[in-house]
Order: sequence, then structure tokens, then C-alpha cells
Amino acid sequence: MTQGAVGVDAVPTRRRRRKRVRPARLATQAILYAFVLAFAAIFVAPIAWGFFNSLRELHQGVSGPVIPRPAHWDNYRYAWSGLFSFSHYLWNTVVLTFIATVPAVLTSAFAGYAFARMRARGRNTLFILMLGTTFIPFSIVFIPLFWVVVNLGMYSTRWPWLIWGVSGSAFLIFLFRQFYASFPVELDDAAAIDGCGHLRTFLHIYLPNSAGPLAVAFVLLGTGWWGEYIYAALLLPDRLLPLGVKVATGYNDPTAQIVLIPATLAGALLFTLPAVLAFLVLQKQLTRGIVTTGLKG
Amino acid sequence: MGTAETPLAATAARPRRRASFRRRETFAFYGFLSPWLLGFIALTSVPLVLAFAMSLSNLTTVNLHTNLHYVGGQNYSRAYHDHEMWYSLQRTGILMVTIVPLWIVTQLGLAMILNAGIKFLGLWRTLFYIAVVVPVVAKAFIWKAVFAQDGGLVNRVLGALGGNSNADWLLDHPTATLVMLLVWGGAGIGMLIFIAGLRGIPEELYEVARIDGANAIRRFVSITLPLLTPVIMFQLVWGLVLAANVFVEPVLISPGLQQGLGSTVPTQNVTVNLYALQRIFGDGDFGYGAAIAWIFVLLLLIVTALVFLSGRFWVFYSREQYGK
Repeated sequence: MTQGAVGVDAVPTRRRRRKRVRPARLATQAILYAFVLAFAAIFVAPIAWGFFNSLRELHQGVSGPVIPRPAHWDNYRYAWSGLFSFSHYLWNTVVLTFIATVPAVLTSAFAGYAFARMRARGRNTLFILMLGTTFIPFSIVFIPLFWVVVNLGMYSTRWPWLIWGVSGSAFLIFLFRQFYASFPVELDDAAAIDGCGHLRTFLHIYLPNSAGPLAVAFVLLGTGWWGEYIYAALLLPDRLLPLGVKVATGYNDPTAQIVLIPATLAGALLFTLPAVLAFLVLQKQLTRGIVTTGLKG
Repeated sequence: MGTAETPLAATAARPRRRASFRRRETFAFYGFLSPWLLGFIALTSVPLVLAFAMSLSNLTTVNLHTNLHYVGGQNYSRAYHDHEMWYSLQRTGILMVTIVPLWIVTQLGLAMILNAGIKFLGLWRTLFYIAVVVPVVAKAFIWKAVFAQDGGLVNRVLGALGGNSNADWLLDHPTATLVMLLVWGGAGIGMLIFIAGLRGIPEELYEVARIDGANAIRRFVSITLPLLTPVIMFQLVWGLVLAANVFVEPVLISPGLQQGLGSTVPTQNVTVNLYALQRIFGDGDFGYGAAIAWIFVLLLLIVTALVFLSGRFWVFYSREQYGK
């Protein structure tokens, strides 16, 4: 209302003002872009540095010219098949990521819907308990869990990953709850008139309209599990290891027992690539999802 | 008679129907929640209790050995007299008080830069965020290459600027290296959350302040900061928990990764989490490790509770949010 009222004469004054302040504005713009470039350099330089060093001679450290010449692209072939079969461990990584991520996203979406749209005794208590789990440190849960896993015969198997997956993630449940709580209630009413119960309302109306939070959930959880290190290092035998562990320990010179730095970096970057690609493909939904679902409470 | 009965029957039936509806709703609620609820019981509640039971026992292998028995508070009193345990707690504390402010300042700074109407917003946002999706193992090896003594990026830059270019960062300044790794690798998500927070501040407030002649610093201090305090609180608590849980990164940037669970991690980087895990996977001492973990959990709980309570004095909740 106020905008409409002032709009008519606000336009010329704003134009006039902008003309007058231009030099100062130019200076602030220059400072702004200088900051952006500096930060971008700080954030990207380490990755670029890792890439350059993956191209050095195999037994070399990180010394030498910044961009190695000649570039040893064959380090990537060596990382792929030189010491172990990269593809075997890549498949392990895919399997673990899949069984830990896909069920978790579904479970979290169901739980988020329940917390946002269903009335039941104990709901608020459970919601607070659910948020509380994010405060529980890794070690206190993992110590007994390791013991249980061993005594149930699940050590050296992928079962724990599936169980972690099925039980969902508190962070994602919160994300879905925030998103569904802001869903128009009219949709529920329309569905109820059509005779839909909660299950059908959720599956036919809520889930198909959650592209944003689903993308956020898949990227955040998927990239997390993709790079997971400690569970796999402590629970799995070599044959089932994901790349997270294999890359960290696999590139030793078989004769001299030294780490082949360029090969390790090549392997690490090959391993990073799928996660970055997934992020780039889904980044618009990811950023929009975080910005609009507003993890602000 | 029939007409007299119908309203009665109707009023009697309605509450029953409502009760059955409510029961069905409760049933559906717990049905929807069941996978998470089962996981919550099996993966959180039971382990917490088990960890406490373990901490009161002399369990020293993964198998239930024959002379397993209750030892009371022995593991706790051992921890109380264990200087290394206190030192690891202190190192965790140092990480928390250094990383969290650095995170918040970096994240808020990046968010403000990106919110200032810059061109190619998407590109910059991607570049600032990309480190988050790099797996921790790759981050660690990149960090080793960046901070290497001979020819590492940091020493090269320092050398070019005329400074000391011969520092062995990973061994002589392990905590500084670790803090930089965590700030670099963890700033992205918080940045997005701060952007969301900044977008939530009504533009009119800035307009009014400008008309009143407030300069940029004044506008930041009097509008941006107070209205962001709920987001800052969120980031503060979340950051404290994340920083308290650090232990994978120190293992991965330590020199000899192959030898057990971080047995070559410089002592400054042995966080209390790592110390507890080393007691278990290095010494097989489940009871003692669980006791340390419980001490750590209680301390962390106290710290986060105090931070939450401090919010009464500095977090600004607008009236609209109260209404929600």
C-alpha cells in the first residue's frame, strides 16, 4: 500500500540520488568485488593446489614448479588401477551411500510430515527428544554400538549402514517438518474431502511437492555418507571398504612403504568428483531449499 | 419416540467417533514415526544406557569375558586422575572457543558479501560452498599438500612475502592447521543459513535508518546484528557441538595414518573424543573409554545449556515470532 502511494514520485528521486552518489558507490562496489575475489581464491586455492600436485611425478612430494611440467596425467590411471581396483571400492561406496541415504530421506520425510501435520499425544516431547539427539556426541553412541554390532555378528557387514539409513536423520526430520509446516493447509482439506487418509495425502500431495527439501536432504546426507570415514574404518574389512578409507591408506609404494602423494591426491580428487557433480546438479534446489525452508525455526 | 432418540444417539455417537478418530490419528502418527522411533531406541537410547553400564564395569575386550564385574566409580576416579584425559578435554575446549567464533564471523561475512547485490551470485556462492561437499579424506590430503614443509602452498606464499617459509605446520602448529582446515571446510552451510537470516530482515528497516542518517556500520550494529541474534544462537550451539565432536580430521592429517587409530596424532590434536576411542581401539579398554565419553557428554551438555540460557540476555525475538 505504502509502496504504491510513494511509488509515483519515488522513482525520479531515487534516480537522481543514484546519479549523485555514483563515485562512492563505485568505490564500495570495488571493495565488495575485491573481497569476493579474495575469499573465492582462499576457498578454491587449496583444491586447485591439490589438483596441480596430483600431476607431479609419482614419487615426488609437492615441491617443484607450481604447475608441474610435464603434467603426469597417467597418475590418474595409476590411481584407478595401479595399486588396487578403484572401481571395486567405488562400487562399495555407491552401495553404502545408497543404503544409508535413500531410506533415511524417506524415513525423515515421513517423520517430518508426522511432526508437522498429525496430532497425537507425545508429539512435542518426541520432537524435543529428536532435536536433542543432535547434541549427543559420536563417541558415546559409537562405543556401545561397536560392541553391539560385534556381538550381533554384524561386524564386517553392511547391515549397520542399512539400519542407520532406515532410522533417518534428526537434522533432515527437522528440515522436512519446517517445510511441511508451511505447506498450505487447503491441500489437506481437499485431500480429506476426496477421502484420502494421511498415507495417501502424504504420498500423493506432500511428497511429489517436496523437490526442494528432497534435494537438500539427498545432497547433505548423500555427500556426507559418500565421504564417510570413521564407521567404515572401524567396522568393515578391506573387501567392503568404501573409497573414503581406501584412498586414505591405499596409495603406498609397494616396495618403499612411503605414501605416493600425487597418486593419493589423484585418487582423492576422483573420489571427490561425484560428490561435487551431485552438488552442482542439485545446487539450485539446495541453496533455495535452505534459504526458503529457513532453518530459522 | 424415534425423534426424541435420534439427537441423543447422535450426541452419544459423536464423541465416540471423535475418540476413535483421535486414536486412529495417534496410531497413524506412530506408524509414520516408527522407523525413526525404532532407530532412536536402538541407536541412541539403548547405547546411552549401555555406555553408562560399561563405564561401571571392567569390560576390557569386545567379548563378555568371565571375570566381568561391576567396579563402581573406579573408571571415573581413574579419569579424574588422568592428566592426559584432562589435557584432551582442554584441547577440545580450545578447538571450540577458536573454531566457533571464526565460523560465525566467516559465515556472516560471506553471507553479507553475497547479500550486497553482487553480480554472478550463484558462481560465488558455489565457490564458497564447494569445500563442504569435498569428502573429509580428500580435504585432509589437500591440507597436507597445502601445509607441507617442503613446497607447500602456505610456505610458498609466506616465502614470496618474505616471511618464514620453513615451518613444519602439521607437526609444529598442529592446532592452527586443524582449525584452518575446519573453518575452510565447514563455513558453507552456515553461510547459507545466514543468507536466509539476512533475507528475513525487512528492507523497510534499512530504509528508515537511512532516512534517519544512519551509516553502514550503524545500520549493521543496530539492525542486522540484533535481528540476526536468533540465527547466531542457532549457529553458536550447532557450531559448539560440531567443534566438540572433532576427531576424524586430526587422525587424517596426522603423519602416519596407517598405524592404528591416530597413534601418531600430535598430542595437541588429540581431542577428548579421540582419546576415548584410542582407549578402546588401542587399549581395548571399553569401560574406561565409556566413562570418558560420559564425562565429556555431561560437560558438553552443561556448556550448551549455559549458552542457551545466556540467550535471555542477548537474543532478540521479535513479537511476531512470539506469536507463532
